[in-house]
Order: sequence, then structure tokens, then C-alpha cells
Amino acid sequence: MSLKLNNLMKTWQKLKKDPKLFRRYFVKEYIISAARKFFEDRGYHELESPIFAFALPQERYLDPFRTSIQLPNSRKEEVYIIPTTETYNKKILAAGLGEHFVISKVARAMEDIGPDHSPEFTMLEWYHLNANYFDLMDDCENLLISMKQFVDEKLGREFSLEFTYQEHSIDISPGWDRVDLSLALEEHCDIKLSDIQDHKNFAEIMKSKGYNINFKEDWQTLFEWVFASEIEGQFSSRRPTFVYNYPKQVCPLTKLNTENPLVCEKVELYIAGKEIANGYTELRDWKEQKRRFKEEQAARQKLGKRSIKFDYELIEALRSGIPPVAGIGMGLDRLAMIFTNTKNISDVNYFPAQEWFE
Amino acid sequence: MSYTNNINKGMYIKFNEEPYVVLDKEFYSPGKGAAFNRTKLKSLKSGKIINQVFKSGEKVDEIFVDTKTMQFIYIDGNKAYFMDPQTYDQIYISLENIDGKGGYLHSSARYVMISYEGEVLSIQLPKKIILQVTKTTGATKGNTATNATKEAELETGLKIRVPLFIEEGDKIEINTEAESYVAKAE
Repeated sequence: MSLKLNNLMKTWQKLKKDPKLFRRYFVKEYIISAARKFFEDRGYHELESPIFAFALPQERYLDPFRTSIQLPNSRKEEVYIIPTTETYNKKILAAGLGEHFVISKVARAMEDIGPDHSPEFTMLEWYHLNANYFDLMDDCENLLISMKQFVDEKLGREFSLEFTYQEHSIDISPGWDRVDLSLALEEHCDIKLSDIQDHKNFAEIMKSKGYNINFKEDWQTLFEWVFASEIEGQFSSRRPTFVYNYPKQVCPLTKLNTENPLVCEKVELYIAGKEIANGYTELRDWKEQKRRFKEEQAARQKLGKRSIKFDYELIEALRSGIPPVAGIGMGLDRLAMIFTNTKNISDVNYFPAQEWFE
Repeated sequence: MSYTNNINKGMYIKFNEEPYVVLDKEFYSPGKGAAFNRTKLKSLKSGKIINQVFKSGEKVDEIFVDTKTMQFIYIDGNKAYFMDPQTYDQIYISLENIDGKGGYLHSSARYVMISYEGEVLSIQLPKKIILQVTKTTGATKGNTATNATKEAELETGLKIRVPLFIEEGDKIEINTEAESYVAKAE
């Protein structure tokens, strides 16, 4: 059998032909080493997460991969491949591990693969005690700067706070852009959060803006749509951007803001148009968490989504008490794309899903 | 009707009552949220490029345009005239609607005319075109850098960067999408 044409070569074949390509994978290694060092220096423990979960937080659009496990009493139980390590982070916080991080593969069943989307990816999550979403923003800045320093050192380059990504130069010196989403909605879309609390009203506003609305979209979809169409493009391409104060409807695990109860204390980090991290001041009220999970469960049913087993043990963990904490997940593949100036998530994985079926 | 999940590069769709060609499509799903398709669309009427986010599962009108291979004949003012080599029918298109204006129009190349419901919308350039260099400077002595370039003017008036060894009278191959020099033509 002869090798196929160049563009159909698998990554390992390309590497064999052109060993210089190894460099971008080494950069990803360095990013992971730097993250470990960063958190160890701060006294964080490393949590080793299982890759299966027997139950998951209820979230309306979540599509986990499913499989089953044979139990000793000849029972078969459905389990999920973790879409995030969150359920384990919260339980270990309840146990008293304290500040910790985890680096793990996670998986999400999506309807397509894209340049920023792969069914499995490497996630870094950390939990910062007695902290809120603003502290997470500071963590992100410090972490990325120390990653950059580590990578530059490993590559024998002079340390700099500049990246070249595609046609842009990105400056990561501290003081990244911070965008209050509740204000951005008013500024860029002329939408007041208080006006769109009513679902039907929100849909009407979208329709009058020219969106192809069929009035079957749920609130969350309307929001994601307007965000992707009118807000995301406004972020600076020169600076990383934190977007915070999301509408309370979009994240069932986040604490509401006490000053503005229409928003929750969630933050997302965008660099070069990519969502790199998503974190929040964690909701600790077990009754409220249970109520929101029930709400999400009902929403799943309405959307025709296959049910996910209810994570009662997570509610039990919250009921037993977890310390005030802010937690965040960061996609290391997308970050590696930025560090290596590559366009596709398949460029930073040795065995990308994209080429399994070529 | 087609669904946005099935939109592909190069597909023609009707959007806001106007015909568009899909230049790019990317799957996108925010966090654990709903799925979307981010597209880059080019209006076949105005040539304007827009970014449009479609909700996954949304319906779009796929349209079927007519294509015909045409020969370029001449430019008069702001109009480029083409001829159907089979019927000798002539049509013109405003230079504004042609990528690169007149710079890539030459009688030796073939162009694909796109029309929809009887109306001529645009002309697709060939991916590669061969043009003659009419004006360029000699190679600078001592400049041995292998990637050094200089400016050259071509027979259509187009100006482009070429390697130093290219001389006046040479025919060169141009990539019309990248708007760049590819190779010296034999």
C-alpha cells in the first residue's frame, strides 16, 4: 500500500516526513507543565479526575457521550464520559481538599467538528478559595503570563508579552479588557436586560432586528444568537477580553450577583475571537442548586433531549457545605493554537478526530 | 429548502431576498450551549461580504444559479464586455462587480458568468491566469536574498510583486484568489 497524497496524510505521517512540526506539540507540553508549576507554587493540590461519571449536573443543551458499565450483581448501569470535571471538584471541595486544579481530557458529543471544536479536548480547571469571578480574571492573567515565560524560556527565546496570532499581534501585559455583558447588550444591541426577561418579548425584539425567529427558540438560544452575531465581534483582537455579568438564565451553577439579580457572576475569557475559559463564583446554596437542576431537567425534556441521571450526590455535597469558591475551566487546545499560531484544533493534537475518518 | 447544518462552501443561497454565495462555514457551539453555524456570505449583487450566524437546524433557501463560460473581449469605460463563444452573444458587467476590477481580464482566459433568474450577477475569475510583464526594474545587484521581490506592471495594468529574476516581456502565472505571483510561465 502506498501513502496517500500529502493532504490526506495522518498527523503521524506528516511528523515523520517533517519533524519540525513536532515543535507545536512540544509547546503544548510546555503549557501543561507551566500550568502545573503555576498551581503547585501556589500550594494547590492536583485532583486526578475519573473519566466516567454516573450522574451529571443537569444542563439543558449538554450532550454527553454515553456508555455502560457492568456491575458485580449483573446489573448494567449507564455512565457518561465527563464533559467537565466539575461534579468531582465540588465533591472534593466538600471533602476538604481545598484549593486544587485538574488537567483532564473531557468529551462532549456535538453535531459537528469545527476548527475550534473537537469531541474530546484537554481542560484545565482550578478552584480558588474565598474568591469570586474577579479573582479568576487575575488568575488568568497571571497564569498566561507565566505560561508565556515558561514557553519562551524552553524555546530559548527572549521573554515577551506579545503573541503573533494569524494577522494580529496580541498583547498580554496585565490589565486585559473587561466587558460587562449587561452593558454591552445595551451598547451594541440596544437591548436592556430588564426588557428581555419575558421570553416572548425577547423573541419579538430579535424578530424586529431581522433574526429568523420561529418562536420555538428558548431564551438561552436567543441570547447565544445575539451574542454570537452582535457582541462577540466587538472584542479587541489586540487584547484578551473578559466578558462578565452574564444573564442569570445562562448558567445554572453560578451564584447570582447581589447588586444586580438579573446577572450571574460568570466570566468568559476570549482571545483572538476564541472562547478560552469559562468560570464563575460557585453557587453554594444546595436548595437553589437543586431547584435550578430540576428546571434544567424539565427544559431538557421540553427540548426533546435524552435524559441525564440526576446528580443527587452533588446536591448532598453542597448540603454538607463547601467553602466560598470560584472555579474556572480553560481549554488548553485552543490556548495551544494561540501559542503556536495555528488555525485548527487538529493542528495541536497528534491524533485529531478530524482525520480518523479521512 | 436546506438546513443550515448542510450549508457548504460554494453553495448559493437566498438570504433576505438576495442571492449569496457561501464563502466559509464554521460549526460553533458556545460552552455547553446550543449549536450554531457561523458563515461568511458574499452578495452576488453587490459583492459585499457579510458575516451571518445561523442557528443550527434553521432553514435556508438553496438556489440554483446558471453558469456559462464566457470569453472576455474588451473594456469600455466602466464596463467589461464578454462574449458567449457558442452564440456570439455579448453581455457586459460593471467593473465594480468584478474582483480585481479589470486587472485579471484577458482574452486568453475563460470566465464563468453567474446568473440567477435571467439576471447576470457576476463573473468568476479563473483560479490562475497567465499575463505578460510590461514594466519592471532590473534586479538589484548584490541583493541575493531568495525571497526578495520587486514590483512589476502587467499587460492589464495590474501591479504585482514578482521575484527579482522576472524581466520585461516574461509571461507569469498569477493566482487570482491570493492576488499573487505563482511561477514564471513557459
